[in-house]
Amino acid sequence: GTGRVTATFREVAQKTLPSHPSEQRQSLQPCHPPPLTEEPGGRGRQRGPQDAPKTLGLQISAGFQELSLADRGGRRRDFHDLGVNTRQAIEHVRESKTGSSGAMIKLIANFFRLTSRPQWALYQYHVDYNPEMEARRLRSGLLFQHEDLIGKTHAFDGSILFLPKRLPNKVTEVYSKTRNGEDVRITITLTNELPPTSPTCLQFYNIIFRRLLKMMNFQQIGRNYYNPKDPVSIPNHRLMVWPGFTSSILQYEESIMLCADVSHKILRSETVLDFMYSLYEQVEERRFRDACAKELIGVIVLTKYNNRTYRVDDIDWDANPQCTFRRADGSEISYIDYYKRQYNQDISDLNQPVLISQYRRKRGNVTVGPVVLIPELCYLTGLTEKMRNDFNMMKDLAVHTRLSPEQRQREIGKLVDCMKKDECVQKELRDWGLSFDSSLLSFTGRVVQAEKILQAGNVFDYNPQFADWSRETRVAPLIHAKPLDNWLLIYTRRNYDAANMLLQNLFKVTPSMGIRMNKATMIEVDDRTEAYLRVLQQSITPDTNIVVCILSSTRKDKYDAIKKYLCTDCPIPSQCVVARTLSKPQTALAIVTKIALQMNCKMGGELWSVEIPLKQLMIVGIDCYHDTLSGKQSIAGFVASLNEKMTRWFSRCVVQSRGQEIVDGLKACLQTALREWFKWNKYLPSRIIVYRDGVGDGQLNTLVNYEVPQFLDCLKTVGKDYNPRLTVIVVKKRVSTRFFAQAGGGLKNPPPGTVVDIEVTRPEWYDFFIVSQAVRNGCVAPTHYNVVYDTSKLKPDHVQRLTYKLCHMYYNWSGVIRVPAPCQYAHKLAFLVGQSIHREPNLLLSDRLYYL
Amino acid sequence: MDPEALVQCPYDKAHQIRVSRLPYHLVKCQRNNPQVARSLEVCPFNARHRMPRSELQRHIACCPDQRLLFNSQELSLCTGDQAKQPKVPVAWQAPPCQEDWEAEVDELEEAAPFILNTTVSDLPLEGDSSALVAPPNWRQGVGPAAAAVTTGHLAKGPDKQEQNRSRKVVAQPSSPAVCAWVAGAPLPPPAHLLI
Repeated sequence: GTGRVTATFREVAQKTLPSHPSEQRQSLQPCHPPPLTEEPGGRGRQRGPQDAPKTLGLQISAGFQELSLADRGGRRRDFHDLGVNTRQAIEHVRESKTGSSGAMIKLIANFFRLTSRPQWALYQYHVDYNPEMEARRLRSGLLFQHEDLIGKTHAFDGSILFLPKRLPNKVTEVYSKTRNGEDVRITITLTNELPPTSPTCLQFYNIIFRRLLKMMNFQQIGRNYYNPKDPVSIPNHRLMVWPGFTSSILQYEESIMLCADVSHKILRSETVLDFMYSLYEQVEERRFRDACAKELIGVIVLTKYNNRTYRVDDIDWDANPQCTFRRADGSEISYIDYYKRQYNQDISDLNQPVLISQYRRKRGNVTVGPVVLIPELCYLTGLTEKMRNDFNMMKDLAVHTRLSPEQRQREIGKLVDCMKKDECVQKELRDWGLSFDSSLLSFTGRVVQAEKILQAGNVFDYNPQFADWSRETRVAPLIHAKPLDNWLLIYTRRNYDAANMLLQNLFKVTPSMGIRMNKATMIEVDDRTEAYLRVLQQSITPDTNIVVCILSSTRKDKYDAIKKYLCTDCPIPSQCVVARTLSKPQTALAIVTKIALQMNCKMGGELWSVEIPLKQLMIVGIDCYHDTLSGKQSIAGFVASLNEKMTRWFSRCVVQSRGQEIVDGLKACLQTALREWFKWNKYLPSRIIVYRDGVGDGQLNTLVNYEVPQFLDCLKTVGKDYNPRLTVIVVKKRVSTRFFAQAGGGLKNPPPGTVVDIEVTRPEWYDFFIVSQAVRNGCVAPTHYNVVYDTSKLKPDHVQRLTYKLCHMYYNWSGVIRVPAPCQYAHKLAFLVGQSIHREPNLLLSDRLYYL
Repeated sequence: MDPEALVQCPYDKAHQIRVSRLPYHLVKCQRNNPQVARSLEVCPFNARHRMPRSELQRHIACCPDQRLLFNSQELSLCTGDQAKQPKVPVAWQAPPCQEDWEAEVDELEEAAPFILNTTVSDLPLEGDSSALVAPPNWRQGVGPAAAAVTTGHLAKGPDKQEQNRSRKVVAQPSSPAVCAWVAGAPLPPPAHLLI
């Protein structure tokens, strides 16, 4: 039909790949369904006209939710976890979920109140075309030939139309003409009237706001918007930073607000082709392809001709830009011609391979195939591991990306200024009747008391400003010191000095900690993985406390092999030290102190504690590790406390299929944890509090309905009358909420211990924010805690303070950290297993922190 | 398993779901098919394994995720001594707490939490069938028949509380208070969770 002709309008080189690249491309095309037209990820996808009416009318809010999220650029996912109303099921916080303790502090947050919203209802219409038109653009074009009827203020996605006014008739029929002169009947049917209070309207404001950003020439990349017109270039590192914003409008505790935060997109002024050439210089020819695959697969590239990002999933070495593909209209075209015609891009290197991106997107019942990209036109984005380790580069980058509270506030303010200055934006806002507060939200938070750190025979306070007690912990004896009676120190000849230095310094630092220490069994090995393993096999006896290996480089393979052997086949705690870290005499003592503490934890020792005013309490921490890039299995780490002082932790992990974020095996994990607890305490816990980290946006509903039942099921099978209190708290580190403390005339980071449970929290949740860590530069990020299930009847104040207390209990850092210690332990465990071990470690190690 | 591979949804045989999306789908489909949901049981080792009650025992016997419970049998020769019961460190005692949050727990509280207080060193296993053998080290303790159990189940009334506080009972293997561990029929998740 006529739709097809215009449908090719925004087509990209997107085609299903032939399965045998060396054969004639053309001949293989017919066996694959031609890809649908339009740009991948394009806003306003072409909705199969046949399924549109079904979602309409019946359940309006759900239907619109689908429209706004699936049809408007996002995946079919609710990133704001709307509709998960967990608070109403928790009886004791229905009235109030706020805490009370601590000192008041004046705070500012990166939120703008919505000061006025449309007072009229929003009218939703369904639009039908006869004959059927497929292209969204064409559908819009035809509809807006009747602007006199519809008005200038409208939102249309191709089948659903929103207007701020009611059309005279419930069903309106109008006629339009296509460019070919074909007559089209358009039927506009009123399907729903949304009152201004409807939550659906909120989603609609988000759509309008995104439209405003677009009007101000912001480019959407992922979920955020960036300004390509105002880049900061860092020429000496060939980097470019695009400033941008992340924004969302949601119903918060008291009012509807816009949350806006600064975001930066880091681009490299280097194309994939440049990168390949420089790699070619560096590696031997026969390793070149492997090296390319290793470095490039999984990276995100940006194509500047359409400002879209893609993930590189494969490199097709047998193809080149001269190859052809079949377009949706059936014509054959080469990549060169296509890019020239479509985007006016010239491709100069005709022999370069092409990149494949498995762009997965369902369109109706057709899945669009992979996207072919030309290396020359793809810019690398983000930072590689190597760049991250480049101290100077990170320092130069931090100047632009790590903003102080005042700078950050200024940048956010710029967004509002921009909106004010832009006449089109103002008009659009006026037309919809929307307006925002021009100043940031200010309110009062609380700073809860600092904790006392308990060590053997010593109780001390730390400086609350820095939230760190590394100095204090050095002199006091540990709660429980494990002796180093019988231990191995393995080193290569070159690192003999480092090994000796470690040994001598350990003798210096261990007495004050209360660690009894004998001289190590020193073993020299060749610098080969097999040599290390052989020594381990020969020298470990049942009495060995710990194995210390001095490694000459950060090379992962040796580390992995040692860890794998000592965590599975021969379960013994182990400590690897890179020789270079011991090389600086001035820092040696401090580093060896840290190593000594870490070794003690790995052997089952305990360092310090804080007061926990609850009895028979078991704390569980869960985090997931997934490395989707290298296609490794996903690992869920599970950690549970073994004593009331939270100094000993039991751990398990579950190896799951790739990319899986939700955990299947929690029932068994909790069961073994309870059994272990019972062995230690001779009774079962009466309270269990689970901290679940690693939950992405939009997964809350599944977590509540899939993981929580596993815990409940487990507790039910323990005993008929065993009915402990269960609390499940979802921990989220990646939030765009930022708090600034008002100090004098300026803004500072809020101090550690700042708790916020008003204004910026959500009314349907039992949630709060805690700023627990101190940062030296940049803005501190608060951690969000969402209590999704709770039968504990504990006061919100106590839940908040307990959470803060647990942030003091991570033994690898003598200070307060961002998340409760069990989450960090679970993260460490999952990371070690995911990176190095790839299967569950031996359970004989499970009662100590061997994974630190 | 390839995360792109398709598996069949237990609630609706017509649904073919990508492995990596199954948990999300199960939540949705469970809600949409309450009839079927009632007839299905969840495997104790892996929440994505759901099957009719009649098949559960057979599944449990051969579930590939069983090792989640029994990994502890892996006893390595080089660590003979570590296989023993944990030595609970007792050297350090925390100073008494300045606060007591338990005391502040909502006054509306009906019953204090149940505390199972026994001296048994082994706890029966879930689905205690012949297929599931407890690791040897759990068998070293006193047999369950001889276990002295103190229940600390505090009931509502103050008089009842007194009565129950430190009553010693000798648990029989079939004693309901302790041995409901032997899985009866696990109940479906509470209704309020299915929002």
